[in-house]
Amino acid sequence: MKKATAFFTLLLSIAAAAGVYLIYREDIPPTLTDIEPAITLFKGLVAEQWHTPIVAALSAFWLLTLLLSLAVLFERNKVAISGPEKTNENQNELQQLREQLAQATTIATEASDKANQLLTQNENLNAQIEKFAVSSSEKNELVELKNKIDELQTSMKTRSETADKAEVELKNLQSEQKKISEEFAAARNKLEKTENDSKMAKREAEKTASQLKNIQSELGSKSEEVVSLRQQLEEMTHELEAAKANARGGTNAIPPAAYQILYLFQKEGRLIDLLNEDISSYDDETLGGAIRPIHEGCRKLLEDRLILEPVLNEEEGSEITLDEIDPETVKLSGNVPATGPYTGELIHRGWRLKECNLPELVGGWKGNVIAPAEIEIS
Amino acid sequence: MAKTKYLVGIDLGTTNTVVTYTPISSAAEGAHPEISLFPVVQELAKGAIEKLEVMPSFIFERLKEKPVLEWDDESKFIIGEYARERGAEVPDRLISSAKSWLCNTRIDRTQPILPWNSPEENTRVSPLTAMSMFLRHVRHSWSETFGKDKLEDQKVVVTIPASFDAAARDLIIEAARMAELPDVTLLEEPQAAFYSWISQSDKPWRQQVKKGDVVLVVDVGGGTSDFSLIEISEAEGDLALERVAVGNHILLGGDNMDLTLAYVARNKLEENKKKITQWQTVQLSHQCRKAKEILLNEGDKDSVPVVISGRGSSVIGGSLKTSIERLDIEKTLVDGFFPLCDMSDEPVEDTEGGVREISLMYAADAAITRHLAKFLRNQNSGDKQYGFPQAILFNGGVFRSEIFRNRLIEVINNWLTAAGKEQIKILEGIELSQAVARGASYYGIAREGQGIRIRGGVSQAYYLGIESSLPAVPGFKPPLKALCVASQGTEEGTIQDVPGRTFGLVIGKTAQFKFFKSNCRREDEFAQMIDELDESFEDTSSLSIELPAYEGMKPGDLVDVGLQVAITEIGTLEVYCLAKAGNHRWKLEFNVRDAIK
Repeated sequence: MKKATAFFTLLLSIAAAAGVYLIYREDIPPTLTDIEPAITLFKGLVAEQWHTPIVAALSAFWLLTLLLSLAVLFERNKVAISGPEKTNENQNELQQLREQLAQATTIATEASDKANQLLTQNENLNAQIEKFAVSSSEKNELVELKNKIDELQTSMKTRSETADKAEVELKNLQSEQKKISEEFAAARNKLEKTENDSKMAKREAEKTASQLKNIQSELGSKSEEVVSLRQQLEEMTHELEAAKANARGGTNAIPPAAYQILYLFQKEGRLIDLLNEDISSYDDETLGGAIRPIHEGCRKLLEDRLILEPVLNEEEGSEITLDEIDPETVKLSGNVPATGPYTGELIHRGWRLKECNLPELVGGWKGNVIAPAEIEIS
Repeated sequence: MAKTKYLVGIDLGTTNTVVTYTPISSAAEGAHPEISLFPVVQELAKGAIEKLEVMPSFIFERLKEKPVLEWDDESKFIIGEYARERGAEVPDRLISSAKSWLCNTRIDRTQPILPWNSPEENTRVSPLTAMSMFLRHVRHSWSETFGKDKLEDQKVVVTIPASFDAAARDLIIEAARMAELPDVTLLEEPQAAFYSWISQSDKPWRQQVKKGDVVLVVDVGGGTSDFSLIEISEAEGDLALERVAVGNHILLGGDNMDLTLAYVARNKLEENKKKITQWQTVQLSHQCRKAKEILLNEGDKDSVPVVISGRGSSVIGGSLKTSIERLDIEKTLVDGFFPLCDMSDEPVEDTEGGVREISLMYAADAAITRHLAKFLRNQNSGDKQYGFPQAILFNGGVFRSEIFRNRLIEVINNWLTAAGKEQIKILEGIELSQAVARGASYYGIAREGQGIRIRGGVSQAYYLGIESSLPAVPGFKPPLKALCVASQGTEEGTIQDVPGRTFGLVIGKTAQFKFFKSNCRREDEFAQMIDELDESFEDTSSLSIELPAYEGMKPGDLVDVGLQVAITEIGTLEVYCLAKAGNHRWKLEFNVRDAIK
């Protein structure tokens, strides 16, 4: 570019010298007569006495320009020309590295996001398990429980799948990171070999190196997180197993109706108090009288809420014949033949629960109290 | 507006609320319409809920009990079954007999005063609000069951004691409006019982009564007793019914009987040096009611043991035992509440001291027969002898016991025999504790034009107090005259202008009108002036009006107005001022806020 300018300037200065020569040659060659009026105009424009200084000044300028163009045209400076070109190359390489770094950072951020997501999911799962544990001891509704367990299991499965996926991704990240550091090492070697290793480039490289280190450590902590997630998942699986065992009939599996029935027998008939009282010290008359309201209250409960009916309606003590029996409904004893019909004396008519009209519990049964302590304030 | 599908009857009782309904499509005369009970959802102990056919009319301010129904009032109050149960244990937080407070003219019924005499820190509500809470609870429960067929879109009839005056009727309408039931119709309870008899009776009712008969309806509920007379007349060749008289509001009922028996049992226990707490008295009352029912329904027993269990966990060791004898029932209940008496006997008035604490005006005399004697005697004035009825219809849980029915019949027959009349005929066949609610639904059918309707009109005659214009004499109040503005029996839907009377009212000032009622002056006619007010007139809530400025009139101007009286279709009485000049009309409001001095 510079050389071209210099060459052009040289040509211009030669042309200018030729022009001046033409102007000041008194006679103009016939080919150039067309420009005569212009020359005359130029000559008339400037006073005669100024011609010599202007021409002198112009000549000096011309000479300077000529010399300068010649100097530029034939100058040879290796360092000044090749230096910038090589730096450009290095910077390009650095630029590429930065881009790779940015990519690596994005991947790392994504990984940490995913890890965070996993953490929240894990927390949700924990909360669910807790809720589940509470509700399983409170509600103890087997069917609901089983459904919940199924739900939990599927969610556990998806959770562990997500964890596996995250692990694979992490591995990919790690290999990619390896690649990046290899490339970085190669770039550094190249840079070291370069003659004019600028300080800027060095600093940049150092920065890149530290960033890479950070990514490495981040990756390390992420893999640790994955390990702890795995552990937590295992713990949750244990808890689930325990809850399942509970649902199958563990110690806390009391249906709310059990509480309600005990509560009603106590409230309406004071039955729990009666059964828990030591009655050995009371005479039969006191006992008999005191039983009345208890019997009445409990009986009313059977009439209104837990309605029973006999399994067989025949008179007790009468002889009856049954062709076939359901062992759930009729119990045979004595000399029982291998097959029916069965004939014998009806000892007990049996009971079956015909209707159960317990009040609707809106929020399930809370706690395990069936009769509250009573305090009277006077 | 959604389509009306059901006729709903609400028996808003003093102690129990019962709701019935029937599809409008089933309304057809002659056939026994299918009237169903609507079980109302209520809270029970331990966070349980249940639909129960009867909703006890009790409100309990929550202590720490968590609400289980997600309705507005329920966050602060318990309504119904559990309220009654908790209220027996913590009486200071219980609102009971709100309906009886609604017709107490000695208190401001719109002010929060219930529970009466409760400690300052407890929440109090007005009798009006309490009534609206019951209705709102029913509305919520209905909407939960019937979904889009909301209660406010159905035809709702609410029953009231026949003895409710015009102001109390207005308050019930107001309570319904507060409960977002803007269109309810009122029906008197004894009439409802009669409708129930018409719809339920096995034999067609026209074969059981004849023209000219007067039927006495005796309604003894849990907390109140109500009497009405219904005359069988003839119109267009068919039998017609007309309610011709209603009695006063008597706070006396079945609950008093159970309480009496509990005190009998308590006295027996205390004779044996045993101390009874308040809680045990409540238990005793329950046990005594059961014992009463056993003695009354099983003729072979002369004594029923009454045992109350120990309060602590030692249920046998702490138990107390006594017994209720047949003699107790006969002596204290039959002779106490239905004593043999003459028709000329007066109920015993409370004569203790001049100052009486304001509270519910419980009847001083427990003798229902003496209250009845006074009521019937009052109906014998004039040319018609309504005081000697030909037939009787019982209503209320008390009369489930034959012994009370028989005693009352015996007493009435004694009166009839002494007057040389025939023995009274007994109309049977109604379910005593649900009859009012069932009758309310049937009334809905009758209003649809599908059944016979009792013509009743205004239950009592109403009078405006007018001071006589006499020269002023110091220390002498000019005597008050009474202008009849509604004669007894004026039919619903009547609008009458009071002729020849002009009142000068000052704009911007409140004008007060003294208002009286009477339930035994059947002869007085509309616009008649009665010169002397005797004891047959009773004070009722005064009327007041403040005329707003209008059409160029300004405060202080005198406006001439006439009076107009309307008996509305829903059973309320409205009095208006009509401007003599121009086309202006203003409604006079019942002054329920100022208690009668």
